Amino acid sequence: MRECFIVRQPGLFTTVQDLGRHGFQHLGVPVSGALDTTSLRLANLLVSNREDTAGLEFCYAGPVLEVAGGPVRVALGGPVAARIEGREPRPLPPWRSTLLEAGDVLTIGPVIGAMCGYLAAEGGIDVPVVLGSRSTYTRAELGGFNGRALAAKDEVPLAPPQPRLRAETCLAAAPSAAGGPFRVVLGPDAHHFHEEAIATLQSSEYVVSREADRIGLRLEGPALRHSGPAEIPSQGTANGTIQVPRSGQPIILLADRQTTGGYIKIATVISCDLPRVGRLAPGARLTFEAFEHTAAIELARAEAAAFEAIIRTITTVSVNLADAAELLACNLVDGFVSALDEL
Amino acid sequence: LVRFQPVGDAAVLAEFGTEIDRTLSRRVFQLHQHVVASRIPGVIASIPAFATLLVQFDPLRTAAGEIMRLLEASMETMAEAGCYQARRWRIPVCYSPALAPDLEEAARVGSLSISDFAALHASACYVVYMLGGFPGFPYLGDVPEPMRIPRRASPRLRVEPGAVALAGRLSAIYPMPTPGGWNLIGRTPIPIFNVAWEEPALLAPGDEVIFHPVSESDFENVAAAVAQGGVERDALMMPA
Repeated sequence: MRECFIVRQPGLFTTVQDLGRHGFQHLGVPVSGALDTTSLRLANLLVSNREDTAGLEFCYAGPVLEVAGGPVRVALGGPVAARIEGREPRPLPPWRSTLLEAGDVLTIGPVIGAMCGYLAAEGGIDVPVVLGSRSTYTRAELGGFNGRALAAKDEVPLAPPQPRLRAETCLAAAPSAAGGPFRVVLGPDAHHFHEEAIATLQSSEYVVSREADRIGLRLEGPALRHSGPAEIPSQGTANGTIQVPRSGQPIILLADRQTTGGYIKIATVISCDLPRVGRLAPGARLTFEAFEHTAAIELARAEAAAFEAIIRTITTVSVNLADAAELLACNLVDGFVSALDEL
Repeated sequence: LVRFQPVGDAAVLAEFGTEIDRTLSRRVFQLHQHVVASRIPGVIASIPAFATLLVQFDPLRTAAGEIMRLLEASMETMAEAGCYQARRWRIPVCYSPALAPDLEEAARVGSLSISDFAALHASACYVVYMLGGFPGFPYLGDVPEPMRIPRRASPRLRVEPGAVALAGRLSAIYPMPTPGGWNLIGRTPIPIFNVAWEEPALLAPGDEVIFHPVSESDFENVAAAVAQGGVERDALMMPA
């Protein structure tokens, strides 16, 4: 039997996602991909994957997965922990790799204080590449595992394992849950709003409503009034664009947004704050702060540097003495020492 | 006059106007073709719509100011170069109530016989204004005046791929099974979207489409040929 996760419980809207399907938006194909790209990228790096390798994204409730066919190294990204049942029962905190054996059962707990969590597996989730990506776009049954969210009894194929033994890795410190206002550039339709609407957006607190999914987050708060019609002939959409339908309640567009849309757009969240948007869960409160697009560039560079700094904190997990004794015993059998030399 | 605006820190919108209009649209396609051909470093996507072009880029590689400067320069080159090159497709459509559940009602609303309604729909040369809303869904215009009927009051839960549809001044072909609220007035046996194709959509923004009425038996013959993989793209393309 080839390596796979057998889904015992699917969790909520668990899908295969990578960093998105690029190059076909002009043909109406949405980008999709992870909502919280930072968490997926870090989880991938912890299991020696490229940042853009396909992993599992789950919303609120994680799946229960049985490992079959062989050992697989995994890591969780996001505010979520898991329990491992098997020969060696143990908890699995996020931001730390571990090796699961065939027969182990991974019970991924609820995501705390965010919408999504991620599971990266060494080598990646091995579903077919569709239009350059393994991301799932469920509305058109495109990509991912048969174009849909996982269901019980699915066997999710994994790339063949790299048989090398190595020490596990972790982030020295979990990425900080940065707070503060979400930074936006006003426009492109800011002139379609009353001036007070522009001021309201920047001075008010909004709450993420229960209508929150991979397409977008509907917010609740002071209404943003249009000065003219609420709809215009459709235009291309950008990730993080805040559109305002007639109700005046804004919607932040996310990864599964349609490539074109006709609602008036008051502002767009800058790209480095998008992973934070992807972490918002219903009930979360948020505010916005407007920046000139020229200033946003500096913020993007600072955020990229901060991500590099996090990557540099990836370290080998130190083992306690009892484990070390066990590892030493293993060395005699399968040459763990020589494997360590590769590190 | 074209207006350039930043959309966040990773896109620029070129706005040629606010109407659905073929003259504006032609300029959108011209700029789109120019952006695609120029392979501007850092540009990720160029999305044409009715009167706008959205150019997305990687903000760590380039910036809105630089993209706006390049787009403006492109506009000048384009003015000299003239029109963009459009491909023209001839798509067989069967206008039969058996295959098009809204045809009779649409003809009645337009005060036309079914055959006049079909002939009128097939008489126009449509431009693919844009694809959007759903992968491979083409917005075609403009529909002749008497046929402009609003979307259905209640959308269907499932529309079959190949359904040829109307809503207001626009016509469309459903690329795959999807819910849909447009009026279904014909059906083509030609698949227009397939992820196995290198270019997954048959119709690209700016292409032109002519509908060619066929009988039910011809519809079945072409559908059978398609199922056997026997219809070449080139056979559907009209000489420029």
